[in-house]
Amino acid sequence: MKRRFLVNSFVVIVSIFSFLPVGAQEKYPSKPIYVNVGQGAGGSTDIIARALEPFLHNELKVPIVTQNMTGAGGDVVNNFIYKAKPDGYQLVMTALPSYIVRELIKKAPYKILELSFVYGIAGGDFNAISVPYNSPIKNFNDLKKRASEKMLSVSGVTQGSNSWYAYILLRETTGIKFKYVPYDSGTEAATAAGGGHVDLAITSIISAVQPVQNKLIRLIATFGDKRDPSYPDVPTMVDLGYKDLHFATRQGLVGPPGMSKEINATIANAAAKASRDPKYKEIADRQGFTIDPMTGPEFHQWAAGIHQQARKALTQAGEIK
Amino acid sequence: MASWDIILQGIESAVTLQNLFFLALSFFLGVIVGILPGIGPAAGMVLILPFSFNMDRTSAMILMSGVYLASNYGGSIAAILVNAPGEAASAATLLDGYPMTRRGRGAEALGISATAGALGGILGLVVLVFTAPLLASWALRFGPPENCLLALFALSVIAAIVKRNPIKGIVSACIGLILSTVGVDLISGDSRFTLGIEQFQDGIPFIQAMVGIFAISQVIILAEENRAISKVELAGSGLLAGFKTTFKYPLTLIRSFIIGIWIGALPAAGRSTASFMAYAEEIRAAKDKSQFGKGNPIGVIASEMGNNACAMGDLIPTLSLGIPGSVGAAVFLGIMIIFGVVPGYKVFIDHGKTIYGLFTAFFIENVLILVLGLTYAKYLAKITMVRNDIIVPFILIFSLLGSYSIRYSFFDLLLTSCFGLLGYFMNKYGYTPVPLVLAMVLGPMLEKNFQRSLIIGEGSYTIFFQSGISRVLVALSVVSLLYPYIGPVFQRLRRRERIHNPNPEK
Repeated sequence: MKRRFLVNSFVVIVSIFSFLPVGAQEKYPSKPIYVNVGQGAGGSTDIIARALEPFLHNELKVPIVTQNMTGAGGDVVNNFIYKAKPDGYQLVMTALPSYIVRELIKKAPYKILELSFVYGIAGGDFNAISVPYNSPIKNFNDLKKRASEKMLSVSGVTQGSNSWYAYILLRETTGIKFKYVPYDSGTEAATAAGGGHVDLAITSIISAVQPVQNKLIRLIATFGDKRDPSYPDVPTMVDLGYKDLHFATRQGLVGPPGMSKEINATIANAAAKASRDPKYKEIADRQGFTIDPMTGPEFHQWAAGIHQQARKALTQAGEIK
Repeated sequence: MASWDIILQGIESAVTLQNLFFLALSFFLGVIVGILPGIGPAAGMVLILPFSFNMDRTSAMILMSGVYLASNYGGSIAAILVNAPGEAASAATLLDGYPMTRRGRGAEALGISATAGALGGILGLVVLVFTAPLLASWALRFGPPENCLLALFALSVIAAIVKRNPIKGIVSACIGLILSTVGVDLISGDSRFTLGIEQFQDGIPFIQAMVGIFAISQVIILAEENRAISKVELAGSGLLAGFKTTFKYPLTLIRSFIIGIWIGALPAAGRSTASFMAYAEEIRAAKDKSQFGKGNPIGVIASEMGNNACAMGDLIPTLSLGIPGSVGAAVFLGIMIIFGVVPGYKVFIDHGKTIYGLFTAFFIENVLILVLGLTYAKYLAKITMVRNDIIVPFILIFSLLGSYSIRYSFFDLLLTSCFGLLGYFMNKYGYTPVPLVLAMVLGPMLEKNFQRSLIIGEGSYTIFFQSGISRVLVALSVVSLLYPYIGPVFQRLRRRERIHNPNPEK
């Protein structure tokens, strides 16, 4: 019996592995390209990557596989790509500034700026402050007044996320102290405000859209450098007199450090064409993200600026120990 | 509610030849996704998402619906027949489903799974159509303290489960709770208890652990025997056996349905919580608790009913508020938005045709689950009569491939094997895995909401007594913890009275 069990096991294993292709080196790209996403399936970065899949496939003619590599606010995916082979078959749809913030506060072993920046896809989603729909807080002045009477609770996303970064900047710039209640996602954080369990929420506008439309929460200020065209009545923090309190988020493709110029250009060209496709824009419009293409070097320069800004702000806030 | 006109249009749009084809395709894909351990409904839906971009919105929704719903059914097939949880939520089904198979009642268990599942799906759909906005607004009232206490109440059932052997039960529960704390700490964002292992940064991966504890440990046990999975020369009984058994337990059906729908409506918890809570509730309610885990059909009914009702319940906040009720529903939400169906209280009117088309598809899929489930149960169950030396290698490979395919990690194969050994030794020395799994499912919900509550309450425990819901949950938890130990005392007192006064009526 035991021997037969072993023999059968062997036969099954061999027959399965015999179907696997044997690697052969050819011109890039000759096998599937993996686009790794640090967020879970269905999150905004995930949707941006997945929607891009067919368009990249049309250009590169190899399967594009979007794969979720979640964990520790992006540490898992960033550690992976920082150490991956720069052969162009492993990419990441990066989400900034959160990954940079994470790198700084956790003294992470990876360096975001050393990665190969391929192409910036989406940008211009801002974070925003929202309050429960029936809250006595109607605008930012009410919020300041309330905060002087009692400590307000604010829901947001885990440490190192964009929403947490916005909270730190708000705290440091205005001097208001909050009780920060972290959630796993922006949607959950916005829902907590919608149920009246916290006084306010700081999330991306994308996460707040549905609860806002359903009159669960109201936006009272955004962290954009200009007003969001969908919410012209909501002031930015700049409008409210905090001229340095703004930052944008950006998603784009990056590869492992040291990717060759040719490979980089091949993907960048395909991504450029894809991001100009009106069909991709249609998906973006519905999903609520803005396509804002940036070449690799531009994207890198932008990230370097964010890195410097975040280091300064987080050091002042005492968050980098 | 929309007008009958729109509802009829929706039904019409779903039953075109093209859409019925997509429905069948999606149903089939869903069953496959379900059977394979690893690919869950969320991953299954995003895998086929790119194919749907060129379709109209009703067809696209229908293509997603089958994967969303039928994966539950597929997951249960693997769970019942070979003890491999195809989905996280099917882990509760195998607790009694697989022992039924071992006793030669595999076909009946499959029939129960199909009947209870389809019933849960159809009733869930009815609730979704008529009361979605109302339930969604109730569910919003569950904040961190309420969610924390709900998890505590669900965990308190362990007191009843472990009563026969408290030490072994508590050891099992503690292992589960300790494992659930591995990963990123919510508040500081730091990794803890990961032993420096990168793969543990996001916690112990649940499905990989379940595949180990249940499927791999069973592979070892089966390999030691020179028989087939079914210990008797019988795989199953008649066509309607499972159907009939299901309706013998109306109270179980009602309880599990309410739990499933409610957990679904809560944005904080998903299908696995629902199926385990429904299962746990049945143990709490049962007079003879010793039969659970040994092939009690009630366990299968509760888990399947809770699971499928929750799949529909998850759509309650998703459709009426745009807040996803679970990970699977979050993907569904994303897809809906891509196709321009903006969820919200007006969705039933603005997109009535698409929504009712989708509901029609769900209804047909539930009927398919019932009909196919009952018809094929007998044939599927034949697999359990195949000699172990032939079937075991397949279960082993299929489980390991499933575990590997979740994040393409060889580390996870090692992890699954370790959990396999843990499961094997627990089984051998009489430790039940139920408290362990229950604690792993509910631990994060308990801990995260505990931390959030204390932040909001500025460190004061009074926050757990502030709302009426909280106080009820605290009271229920206390009763549930103490009853298994105090209850018998009361019963004995009552019995003694009866002895003193043998015929009180006369």
